[in-house]
Amino acid sequence: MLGRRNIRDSIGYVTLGLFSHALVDELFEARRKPESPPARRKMITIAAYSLKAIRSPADVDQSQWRDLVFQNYQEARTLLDAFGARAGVDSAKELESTLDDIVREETIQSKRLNDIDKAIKFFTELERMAVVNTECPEERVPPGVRQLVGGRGSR
Amino acid sequence: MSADVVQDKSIPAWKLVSSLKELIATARSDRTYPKWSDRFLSFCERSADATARYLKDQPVVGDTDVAGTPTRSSSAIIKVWELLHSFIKPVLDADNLKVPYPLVQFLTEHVGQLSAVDKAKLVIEISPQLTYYQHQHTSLRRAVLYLQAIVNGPPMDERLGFLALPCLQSKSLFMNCLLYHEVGHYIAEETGLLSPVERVELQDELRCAFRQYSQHDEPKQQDKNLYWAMQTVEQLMEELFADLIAVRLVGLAYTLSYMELLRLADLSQEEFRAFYINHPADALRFREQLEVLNDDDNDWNKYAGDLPHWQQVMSVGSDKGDESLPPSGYYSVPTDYRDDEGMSVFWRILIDHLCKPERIRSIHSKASTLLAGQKDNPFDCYNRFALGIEECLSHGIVPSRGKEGSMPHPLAIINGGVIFLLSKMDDLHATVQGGPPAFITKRAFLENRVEMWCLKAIEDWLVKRQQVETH
Repeated sequence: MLGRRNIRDSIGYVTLGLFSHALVDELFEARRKPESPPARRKMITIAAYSLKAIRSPADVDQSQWRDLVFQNYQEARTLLDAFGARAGVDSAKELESTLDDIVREETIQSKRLNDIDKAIKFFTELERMAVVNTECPEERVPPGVRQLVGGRGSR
Repeated sequence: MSADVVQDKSIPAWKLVSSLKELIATARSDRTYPKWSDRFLSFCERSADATARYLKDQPVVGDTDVAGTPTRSSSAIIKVWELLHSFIKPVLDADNLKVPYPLVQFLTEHVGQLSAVDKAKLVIEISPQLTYYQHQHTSLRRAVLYLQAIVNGPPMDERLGFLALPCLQSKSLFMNCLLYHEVGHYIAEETGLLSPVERVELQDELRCAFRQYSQHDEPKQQDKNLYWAMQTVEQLMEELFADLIAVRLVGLAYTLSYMELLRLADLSQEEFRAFYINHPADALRFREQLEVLNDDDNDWNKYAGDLPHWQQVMSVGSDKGDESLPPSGYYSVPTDYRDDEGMSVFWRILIDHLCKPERIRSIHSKASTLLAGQKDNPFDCYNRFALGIEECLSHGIVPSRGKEGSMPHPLAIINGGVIFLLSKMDDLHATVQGGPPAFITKRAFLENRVEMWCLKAIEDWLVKRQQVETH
């Protein structure tokens, strides 16, 4: 094992890190070449749709569930933890709108470049956090569960 | 930042994938592998090649392009290969000489014919421990999809599943029936055990059950607790589901092999009622298997009534205890938590939720619906050839021919072999002259022979079937 814990327990983090890496590669390309090939548009659109699923699950078509990026607890938790100053984006809604603007044809070029940089910064940080999380052991039972039942008499 | 510095960061990743590529190429040229294992290894070899090319040609991007953006990292690429390695190594260990090839081949075809997992492709691994397991593959598939997008790599075969068996079972038939339980996990992963609606319902139920304990917690903490509870209940449900798939697919042989595993541990009646952190109590598992084995389509008792293994299954699985108590009054919480009053309360809630009659019924119904189109009922197959198989094995003959000249179906051979091993070995031991002098070595030698004859008979059936299909 290269890392400090069994990689099988970290599969969600690996997947998230890899998606972020793939998306940042596409965003760098998008920065260099304004035209958007279908594969790039699809990847950015999936990211935006997955953010919508986090924000408002009821509005998401269940048949598209398998394509979503943030499918499990590890992925969703890491995403939510990433929002903040360091990643330059505060909420799923803000990021979703940034990604939508990147693929929208009407967006003016200077704004598009700003949006791309913002998304690159966010997903680079998300990739970093996902990779770091693959190395952080989680307790099998969350400590809160122990506190929860241990302290039930006093509640 | 210079290109050299950026490329330096890719060197460990490049070395890792290049070594893996070489390792796979050498193994594939030196040994032969079951079909889907070889296809998977070939995919990994080509992906490693594409990754090495990507790392070599990786464009230098980073803070020279975008102010404040960190340099591109290869860490995620290393991580996905670390993950792939956890699949590759056990597959590399499982070449044709290390696995019970005819059984594996039959199992792959058997599962591949099920409409629920049409064209399933099973890759076989050798487990690093003395355990059987199914290696979860859904996330691997997504990870591979992203890797493919990054490095422009090859696509992976659809519907690949990974089943692992211990290295000591390469020539065994009896214990390898446990592989069918792992098939159950594969089917659960492919088809989704809970629909989105059922998942939300379960989540609401658990949230409600824990509300009185968690109302003062932060929402993030509540989420974490609920996640843990959901994961635990789903895992326990999946274990029951996997058992039901196994008994439906292979019949009594699965239940007997499972009991054989437990008999080695010499459990007391009370220990049979104990839950484990990730497995339901064995008593509950046998109770649900008996529901299938004793239903109207099966009459296994006719053949297994005298077997001590079966009698123990009946005794453990039929004991319902005091039915006025909730399930958690009969089954006990995992040993690890027995002395922890708080965790015991938590576990008792989970046990009661798992054992709700409507929940158990839904697991049965899911298993039965998914296998509705199953061609061969194991009991019918065995019933047709039972006597012929027993006669062949009693005389040391490979049971490839039934009395009327037709070939016994592998499901008949598997069940026949297992029942013979548990009931007729004393007779065979007395009949066969010579062999190893000590009782234990002669008995083990003969048991190995019986398993080999059965595997040979399955191989004969596969060859014959292939000839028929070719013509």
